[in-house]
Amino acid sequence: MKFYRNFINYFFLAAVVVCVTFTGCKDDCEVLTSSQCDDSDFTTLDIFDEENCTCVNETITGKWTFDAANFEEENIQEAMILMNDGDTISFGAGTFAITKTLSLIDKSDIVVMGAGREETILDFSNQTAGAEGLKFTANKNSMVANLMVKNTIGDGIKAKDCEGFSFINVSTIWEGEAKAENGAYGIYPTTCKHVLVDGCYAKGASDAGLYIGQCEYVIMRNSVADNNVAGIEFENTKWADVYNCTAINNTGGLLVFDLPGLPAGQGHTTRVFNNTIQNNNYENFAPEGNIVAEVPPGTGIMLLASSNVEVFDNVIENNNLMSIGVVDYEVLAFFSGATWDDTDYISYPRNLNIHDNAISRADGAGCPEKPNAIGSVLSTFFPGCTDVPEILWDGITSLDNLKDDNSICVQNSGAIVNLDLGNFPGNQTIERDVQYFDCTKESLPEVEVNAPLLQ
Amino acid sequence: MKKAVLILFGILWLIYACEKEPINPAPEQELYSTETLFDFEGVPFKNLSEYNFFDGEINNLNPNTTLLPYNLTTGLFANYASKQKLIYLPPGNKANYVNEGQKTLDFPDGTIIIKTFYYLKDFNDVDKGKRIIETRLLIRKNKEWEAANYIWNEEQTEAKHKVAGGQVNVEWLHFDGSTHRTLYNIPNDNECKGCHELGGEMVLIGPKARLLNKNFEYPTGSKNQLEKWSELGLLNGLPAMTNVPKTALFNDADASLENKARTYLDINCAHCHNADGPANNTSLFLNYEQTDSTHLGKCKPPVAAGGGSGGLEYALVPGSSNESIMIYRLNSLELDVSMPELGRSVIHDEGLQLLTNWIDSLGGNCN
Repeated sequence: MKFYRNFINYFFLAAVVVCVTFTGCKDDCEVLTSSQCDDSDFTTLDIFDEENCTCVNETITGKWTFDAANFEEENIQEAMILMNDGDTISFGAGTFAITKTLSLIDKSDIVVMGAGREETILDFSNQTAGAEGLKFTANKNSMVANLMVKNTIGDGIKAKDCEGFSFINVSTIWEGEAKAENGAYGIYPTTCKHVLVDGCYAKGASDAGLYIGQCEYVIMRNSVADNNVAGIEFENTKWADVYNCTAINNTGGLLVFDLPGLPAGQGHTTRVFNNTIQNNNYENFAPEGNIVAEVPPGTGIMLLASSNVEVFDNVIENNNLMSIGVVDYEVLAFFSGATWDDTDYISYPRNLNIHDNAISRADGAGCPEKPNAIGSVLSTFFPGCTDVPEILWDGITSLDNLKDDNSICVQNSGAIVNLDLGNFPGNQTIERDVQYFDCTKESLPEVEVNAPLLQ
Repeated sequence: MKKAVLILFGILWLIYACEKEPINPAPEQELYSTETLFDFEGVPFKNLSEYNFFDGEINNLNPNTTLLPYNLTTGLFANYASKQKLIYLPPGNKANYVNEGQKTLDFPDGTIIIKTFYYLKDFNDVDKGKRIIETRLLIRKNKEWEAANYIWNEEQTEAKHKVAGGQVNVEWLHFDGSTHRTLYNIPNDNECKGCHELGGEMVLIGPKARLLNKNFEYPTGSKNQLEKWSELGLLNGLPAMTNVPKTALFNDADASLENKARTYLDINCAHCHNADGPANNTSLFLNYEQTDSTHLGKCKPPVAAGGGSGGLEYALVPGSSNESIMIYRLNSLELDVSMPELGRSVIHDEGLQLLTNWIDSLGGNCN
C-alpha cells in the first residue's frame, strides 16, 4: 500500500512538472484557472494552486480547498465523493452560490470547514435540485464548522445516522420575514449518536432552528436560535444536555418533545440549564399538519410527554403566554386531530425536576399578538395574559401516575397552575398554586459525548 | 464448478422500459453466451465502450449476448425516461433466489447491473430517434455493490464515468402529442446511495423476486423471467412458482387496485420508506409486505415533513385522496414537497391517478 502511495506521488509529481512545463507557468499563471486544470478524467479532481501555479491533485494531498472567487460547484460535490477518511474540505471567505444539495456519505474523521460563521456563506437561494443544503449520512467522528448555510429550499444541514458528529460555529438562516415556505429544520441531526452543537445560530426555520431528533448522547451549548417556530427542540432523544444557549423571538423557545410512533421510541434524560429563553412570542408560521404548528406563541419552555428532564438555572423572561408548559401529548393531539396507536407510548410528562429558574414577564405586556388555537384557548383562562402562573400543567393525567420516580418536582421557579384540561371544554376546575409538586429530586449526571472538537 | 452454458435462445431484440415502446430493430437470433467481455480488475472503466456491453454502434444499445435483459412488473418512475435494464453475470456464475423483505436476488461477485436511461424524441413514434442520457452501473465487488455512472456525450458516441453527476435539459413529444420539458438530474455517486441504501449497505432495488415475477418477450417466445433464468442455469433455488410472490403489472386491467397501488409504492417509495431505509425516521413504511396500517400512512400524522405536509393532517386518509399528504407530495414539483425526493422533476400522471383511485376506494376515515 505504501509503495502504491509513493508510486502515485511520483507519478503526480511528474504530472505537475508536465503541467508546469506545458503552461509555461510563471508567465502564464494568471490565465490558468482551476477549470483548465480540472479533469478530463471525471473521477479524480485537480484544483489549481495559484500560489505555486500548479494543478494539485486533491485526492493525494488530503486537503480540498475552494475559493469563492474561483470555484466550480461540481468540484465541491466531487471532492465530497472522492475525499478519503481523515480529509478536510476548506472553503475560503465569501459567498458560494450552490444549486444542488451537497452530500457526504460514509466517511470517517472528515472536516468540512469555512472561514467563519459570517464569513463563509453557502448560498442556496437558487437551488434547483435536492431540498437540503448540506446532507451528511452515516459519517463517523466528523465535523462541519465555521460556515453559514443560507436560504435552502428544505432543511439547512442534515446529519443522519452519524456517530460522533459536531456542528461548530455553524449557522443556518432564511433571510427575510419568517414564513411557512422556509425550510423545516436548520441544524438537523437525526438518528445519530454522540452529537455536539456548539456556537451555532439558526434563524427563520419553519419547524425548529436547532433541532435534535431521535438521537442519543447530545450536547448543545453556546448557541442561539432566533425567530424560528421552535427555537431549540429535542425530540425523542436520550441523554442530552443543553446549556448556555439563547432562544429569542421564536414561537416557542425550547421544546423537549416525545412523539408517538417513532422508530427510536420515546426519549428520556435531558438537562436544560443556564439558558436564556426570551421574548418567544412570534406568530406560529409552521405549515399546518406539523405538530409544531400547535405550539402557541408566547411559549418559553415546553415539556411534551417527556421524562427524566431537569430544568434549572435558566432565565426565562417575557414569554407572554406560558413560561414553562408541562403538557400531555393528548393536548396537542386534540387540537391537531392527531391519533396514535403506539401501545408503548406514554403521553404524559413525568419525572421532571424544575428548579432555580428566574422567570419573569414585563407588566402589561398582554397576550402574543397572533395566537394559534391553543393560545386562544389558554388566553380565555387568563384574560389579557396577565397574572399567568409561571408553570402551566395541563392536569390531564392523574396524580397516581406521578408518584415516586415519576414525580414532578418544582422548586424556586414560581407558581404552578393545574389547568384541568381533561375536563375541557366546559367542566374545568382551574387550580392555582398547587402544592403537590413541592418536592425535590436528585440531579442528573453530566452527559458524556464523544464528538470531535475544533483543533 | 465451471460449466459453459450454451443456450438456444436469441437474446433480446427489443428492450422494453417500464411502459415504453421498443427502440431497437430486431437483430438475428443469437446464442446466449458466457464469453468474457472485459477484464473485471479494471472496473470501473473510464468509458462505457470499454465494457463491450453493446454490439455495433454503441448508441444502438444492442446488447451483447452475454447480457440478460429484464424488466419489472411495475417500474420506478424516472421522469418518463425509458430504461433498458441488463444483467451481466460473470461466466460460470449464478444468482441465488431470495425472497425476504427488501432483499433482492443474491448476485455473485462480478455481476453488473446495467441501466440505460434515454428519451424517445416522440413517445408515439420510435422512428424519430432517441437521446441517451446516462448509463448507470451497479457493480458487485468484494461482496458489496458500488455505483458507477456514465454520462453520454452530445454526439451519442460515448459515455464517460463521472462521480459528480450533472443536470441536463430534456425535451420530448409526450403521448398526448404535447411538448414536455424538464431539467433532468443525473445522480452523483452520493445520490445513488441516497436510494440504493439499506441498513447502511448499498443494495439493489429492482431485482426482487416479487418484482421480476412476470413474463418477458424473448425471441423464442414469452416466458416468465425467473423461470427462464432458472432454465438457463443462471438462478439457483427457484421454488415452485406458486410460492413466489407476485406483484401487479402497472397496466394490468385484471390486477386488483390494491395490488397495483401497493406494488407502485413498493418500487417507487419503499427503498427509502422501510424500517431500515433512509426514511426510517419518518415511520412511514411502504414496502409490499408491510401490514401495519399506521406505518402504511393510514391516519398517520407526518414526522419531519415541514412544508411537505401541505397543511394536511395525515399521510393517507381512507376514501379521501385530496386530504392525503401522499397525494399532495406526488402531485408537487416543489423541491421540499415532492416525493420521491430524488429523480422526479415531472409529475407521473398515471401513478398519481392509480394512487388517487386506490385511496378513494378505501373504506373508513380518520375521525
